[in-house]
Amino acid sequence: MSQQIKSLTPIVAWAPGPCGKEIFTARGAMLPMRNATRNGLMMTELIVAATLLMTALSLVVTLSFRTGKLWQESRHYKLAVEELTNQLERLTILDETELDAALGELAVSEKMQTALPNPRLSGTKIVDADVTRVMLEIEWDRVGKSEPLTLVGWLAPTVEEQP
Amino acid sequence: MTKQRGFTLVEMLAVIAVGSVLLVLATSVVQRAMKLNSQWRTHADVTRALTRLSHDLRRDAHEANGVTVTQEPGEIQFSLPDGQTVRYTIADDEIVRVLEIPGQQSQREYYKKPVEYQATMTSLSSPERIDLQITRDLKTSGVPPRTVMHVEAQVGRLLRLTQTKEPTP
Repeated sequence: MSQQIKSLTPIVAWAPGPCGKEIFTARGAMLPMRNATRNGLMMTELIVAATLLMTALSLVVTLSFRTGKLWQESRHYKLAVEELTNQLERLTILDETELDAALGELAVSEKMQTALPNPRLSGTKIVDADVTRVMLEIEWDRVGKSEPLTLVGWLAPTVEEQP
Repeated sequence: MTKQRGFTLVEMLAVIAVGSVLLVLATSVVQRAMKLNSQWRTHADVTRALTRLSHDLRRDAHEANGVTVTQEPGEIQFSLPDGQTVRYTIADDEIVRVLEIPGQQSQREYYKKPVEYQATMTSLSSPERIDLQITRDLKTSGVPPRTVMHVEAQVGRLLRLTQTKEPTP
């Protein structure tokens, strides 16, 4: 019977005390182990370290992708403005009859078709009381919902319209 | 229980190995950051120069009453009123604008661009236009050069507008 009781009270750990005295106990992990040597790391510590590392890595990767995307978007925006400027420069010199035909055949230039992702160009003639305007809109595939880029130009006045 | 004094050789080797790996990683991160900073500065400089070029080319084309395009070397010459001429010449790392005014010293302006940026100038008709395209060669097989700037400027636009404003006889 005494043999059985002995086997039920195991000594789990031991550690030197603050003054170098050895302390024997059945709950070794609860002891103050100031001078104890540690071999290896706890699983919790490893998990925390791995989680921190993964979080930092994912942040860096996300930021890198986001920065690249921003650069690309600003380049696309600049190209789209240039495309609208080029088109308006061509259209605003036409007279009203030619403008109607030109708006019907309006298309993105060949260079911009390759430079911008899926560009769509549309144009509207706006006739006010005294002047005629052309409003051009360009859209292309972007992240998120974005308004189309719009540029307006006024037709050059004809000789009859001069005061 | 004997007290441990100092470190064993294995511990020292392990510490040196881990330290070396961390040092290499830190160095590469710093180098990458410096390279990115340099790239960003170059990009900003090029963007500014190209915006200036686009503005000047449009203005010269609008004011011109004639244009001559030479492909080799890439050169555009605009004839302006009062006998002035403006010449744009494409070099490897820059585009040069030379304004020549009769009886005065010529004025030069430089638009710096990296060597990997290719500039092409062509003349288009009906209406007469000048097309300047700047592309960047990414030096990656299978990837076409990326368009950085595309300007189509109408030649003599201001002249035409002025003519329409003149009273008819």
